[in-house]
Amino acid sequence: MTDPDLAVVRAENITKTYPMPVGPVHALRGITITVERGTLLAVAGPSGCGKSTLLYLLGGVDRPTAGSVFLLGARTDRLGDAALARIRLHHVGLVFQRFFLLPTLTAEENVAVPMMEAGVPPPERRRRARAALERVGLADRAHHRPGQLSGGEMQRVAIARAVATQPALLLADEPTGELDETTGRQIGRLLQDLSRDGLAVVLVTHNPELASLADRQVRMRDGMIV
Amino acid sequence: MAAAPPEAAGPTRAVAGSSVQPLAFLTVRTLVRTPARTALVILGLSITGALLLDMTMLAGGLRASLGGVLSRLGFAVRVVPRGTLPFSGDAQIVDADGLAAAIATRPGVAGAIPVIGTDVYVGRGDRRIPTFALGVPAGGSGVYTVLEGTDLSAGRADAGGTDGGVPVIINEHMARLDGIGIGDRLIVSRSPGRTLEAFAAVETCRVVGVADFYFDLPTQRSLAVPSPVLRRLQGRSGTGASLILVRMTEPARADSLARWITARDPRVDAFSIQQFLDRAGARLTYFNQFSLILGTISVAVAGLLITSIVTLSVGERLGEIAMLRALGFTRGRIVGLVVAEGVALSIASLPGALVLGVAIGDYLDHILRSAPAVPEGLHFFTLTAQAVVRTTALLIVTGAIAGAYPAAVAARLGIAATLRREIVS
Repeated sequence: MTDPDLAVVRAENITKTYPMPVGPVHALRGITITVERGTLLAVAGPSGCGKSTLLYLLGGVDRPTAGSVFLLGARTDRLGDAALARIRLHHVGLVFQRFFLLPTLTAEENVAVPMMEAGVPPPERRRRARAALERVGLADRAHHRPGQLSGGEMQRVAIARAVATQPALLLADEPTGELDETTGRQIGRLLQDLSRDGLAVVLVTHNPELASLADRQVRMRDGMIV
Repeated sequence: MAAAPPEAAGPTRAVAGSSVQPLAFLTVRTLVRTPARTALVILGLSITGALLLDMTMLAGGLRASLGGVLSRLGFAVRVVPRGTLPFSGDAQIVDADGLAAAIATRPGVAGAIPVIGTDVYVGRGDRRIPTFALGVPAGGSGVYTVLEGTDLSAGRADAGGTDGGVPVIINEHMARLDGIGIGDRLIVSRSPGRTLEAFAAVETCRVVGVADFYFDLPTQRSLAVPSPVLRRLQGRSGTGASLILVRMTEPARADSLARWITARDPRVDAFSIQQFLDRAGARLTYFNQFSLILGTISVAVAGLLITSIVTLSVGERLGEIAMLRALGFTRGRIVGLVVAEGVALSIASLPGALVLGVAIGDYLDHILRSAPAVPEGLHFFTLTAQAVVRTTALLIVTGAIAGAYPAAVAARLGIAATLRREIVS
């Protein structure tokens, strides 16, 4: 059971079909799901089952072929590109398997990139970037470039970047896919802590240990929740 | 559930995408990412930019320089036989003295000087030296500055063949090259040889001064004699002249005076400096076409260079660009980011382009000015503020246009598909 007042994102009967020369590929087949504030939801399943597609649809990175997506009570699946970008900028944090940090920027500058785009004034931007780095345990690495950081540290910088804009929803797509077991566990705990701070976190993972940290788990197969 | 999208909350969320600061910041950081490649591109752009500046200097420089030379001489209006340019032939203005006198009465006119120009030969022993001769009113001609000796008014104005001879002023080049000094006697004729002199008028002249002649070519021998003397040598009677030069106290009236002159005597053309430049400009079209073609090529090369390098850079950063889009950068901002890279490369190449362009232009100008028949003070490559502004604007616009293709590539990226592809690869 879910509480509608606490729902950060809700998908109703969403499908996603990719037209291909050999015929349409149905990545998602009628999924309904709600993620509430303060919840860590793990989405597990084999490769190609539609986990990442679901994540992108929830975050407004992509649009469903059919069905509806509501973020903070507002329907987002019919919005234009610019409006969706604005929603992602202010309300959604994204973490990827690859960290996608900009190599010529320091950790603090990487964290500040979305805030720059959001028009946060420089002093406030610096303060929030430092706070976010402190939150992920990297305050002492603020002026290091990605090349000077370990994989785990880079992923923590990416998480700091995702939460620095104070989003309501954090989406993590295989965030430990390129990390060793110990570092992966640390990242899992960090995501758990963030959800306990009130963030709605959706975690896509193959890792059962990581999934076990979640408040809720859903398993997918062939584009459906099973 | 409501249909409206969630609003951005709080004052720090109200100005998304409105600032150029992230673009400038990210652009600079992107360019320093591969410093050697960026430096090579900037060097290449500096060279093409230098060529562009030179072509811009050539396109307007000759005209500007000619205008400068004409203005320095101080004559606001020039009157020539209809359909000619000054000293371009033997055609003469009929009753030039009468027309000059009429012009001198017009408001704003300080003086009108009829001048005859023709080729003569100066005899020194057995040699006959080709020389350009000016026939000017005795004293105060205004077409030369006496450097040594006296002006024509000090000698006998139009007498010839008697005791002292006709007074003549020669230019410095002739004095130096032929070893002629003040007091020397010269035989001036229209005939190139001693035999033919029997059939041509000959004047015995005495050098009274050495002067700087304003209309000289660098290697030209020139002399000035009183107008009646030159008319005698030409075998012409009357009061004709090749050119009337008009000084004005109010140069702003030059255009209207030129119109008045051509209305009074339809057999002449009268030009203000601007009108003269317009007519001469038609004869400079070769330079303009030359500069247009080479300038277009340099712009095209600069554009292709920028397009290639920015497209390559975008291709290397597809994942990052998709990530920026996923984080909330709009397509427009991504377009701006990539176009800004092209513009930044152009701007970075400007100092090199200007320095190199001026140096190359100076060298080319030196080569061209060493050619025969190029008037003193005339430059082909003239650095003007307009040339710098035009080159700067062309390079920046080229950078923006060249960035358009890679920008379109970046803007068309599907976020999810690109991220998936980057992660899988």
